[in-house]
Amino acid sequence: MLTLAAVVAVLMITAIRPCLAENKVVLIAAKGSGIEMLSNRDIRRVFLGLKSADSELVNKPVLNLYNRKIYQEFLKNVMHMTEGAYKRKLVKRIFRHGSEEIKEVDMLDDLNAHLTRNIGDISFVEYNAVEKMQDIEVVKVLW
Amino acid sequence: MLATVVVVIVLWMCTPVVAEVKLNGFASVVVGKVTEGDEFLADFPKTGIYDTRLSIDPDSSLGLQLSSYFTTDFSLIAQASVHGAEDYDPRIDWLYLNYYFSPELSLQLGRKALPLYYYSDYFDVGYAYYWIRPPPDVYTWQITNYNGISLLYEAALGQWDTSLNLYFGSEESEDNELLGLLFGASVDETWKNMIGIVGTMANNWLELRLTHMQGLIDRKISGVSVLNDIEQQFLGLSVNLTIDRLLILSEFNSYRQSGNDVEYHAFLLSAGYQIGDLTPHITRSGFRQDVNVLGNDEKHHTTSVGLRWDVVDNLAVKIQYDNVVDEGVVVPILGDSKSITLGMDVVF
Repeated sequence: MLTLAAVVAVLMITAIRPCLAENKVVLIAAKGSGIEMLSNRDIRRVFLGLKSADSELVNKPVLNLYNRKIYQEFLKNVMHMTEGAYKRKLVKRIFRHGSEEIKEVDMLDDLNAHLTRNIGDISFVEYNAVEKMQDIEVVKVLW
Repeated sequence: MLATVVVVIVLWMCTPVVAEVKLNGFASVVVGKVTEGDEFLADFPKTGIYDTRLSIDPDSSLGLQLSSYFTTDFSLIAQASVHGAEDYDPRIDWLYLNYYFSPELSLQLGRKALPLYYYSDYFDVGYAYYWIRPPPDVYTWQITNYNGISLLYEAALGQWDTSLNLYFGSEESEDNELLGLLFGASVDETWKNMIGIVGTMANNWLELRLTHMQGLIDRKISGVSVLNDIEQQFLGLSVNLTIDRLLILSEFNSYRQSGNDVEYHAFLLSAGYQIGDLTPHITRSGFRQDVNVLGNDEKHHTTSVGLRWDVVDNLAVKIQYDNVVDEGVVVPILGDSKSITLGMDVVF
């Protein structure tokens, strides 16, 4: 009985693991950017248009909109606000401090090309998408 | 003002390389009319006034912001705008150099918005708030900009985003529009030696803003000096809450001049609720200045209800109803009124 339970448990873990991998969302940058650990607090700061306080190597954020669901989850899990609230916060910052507008990308290939052309820029994608990209490395698992 | 423009332009020209230039803009097209009463002073600083005829001028505006990044740490920010209430004459809102000493600390030199109120910095950017315009009872400032220097520190403290802004500067306003309307004569106003501090703290659901400014004021009415080196002080507190889809906004300000009994208090309390792309809201605001030694009083309050609809990214449509009760005796602000306005705000 114990053996059977163990076998079932192992099978369940094996079955679940790929799902977890598929659902992972990661922070990415171009290979060789040198960016190491960033706190979620600092990632939020960068995506609000401020400079990174954790790493001088971080350049600019890029909003990945090719998967709207992940974008919404990013706003919820990292930025802790709704899309409307985030948009208005960025507008306030642009017209309050003259901050740059945050770049938005709709295609994975475009995101790949932008990140490799702009070393130090960061974005977020689902973990599986990293395999489809070239010269991109994972900086951090976000969730 | 002219000195600031010259200094900034010279510094800009002396900079060898312009690395990157960004252009952003905003526009508001608002049409409205008074449905009961005679007139509604919707925009105090620009004296945007609705009457019983349908009008597009009092709240409509267009602004362009140019940001030149010489390096990642050094930039020039300029913003010019036109407003229907000012006959679409262009004016320079911002013109300053910005330098980052560190990711948290930056210095600004030039012309900026005077950050007295919560919405001072983006008062004209209608897209950034849910009203047609910030409540006029609170935004009764006759001086909206300053030329000077500013130091801004922005950092995270635990779960809080914090900022501290120190500034010093002055501003001269010849033939000030708002004071001209209130006094019925030409008024030249100078605010000088302004020293201010603005502190903010925000987490996921709570935002606090505390501001204090003091300086000296000179005023001439029809060329006759009525105030000279009079000290003035402004104190403001904003508390904003975001509880799921419920937004609660508040602002409380007080102003006084030392050496006399000129003193006023203003407030706003507002609630909005986000339902998808719609945000219905209700606001109560008020202003009270009792009769003082200069023989002036001003007392009014407004109840507003409205709806914001985020039609698409960067575009919002709004409708708002304002009921103003004017209780000023010596200095009324155009009397009681009920008004309806419909507007569209974009940013680009």
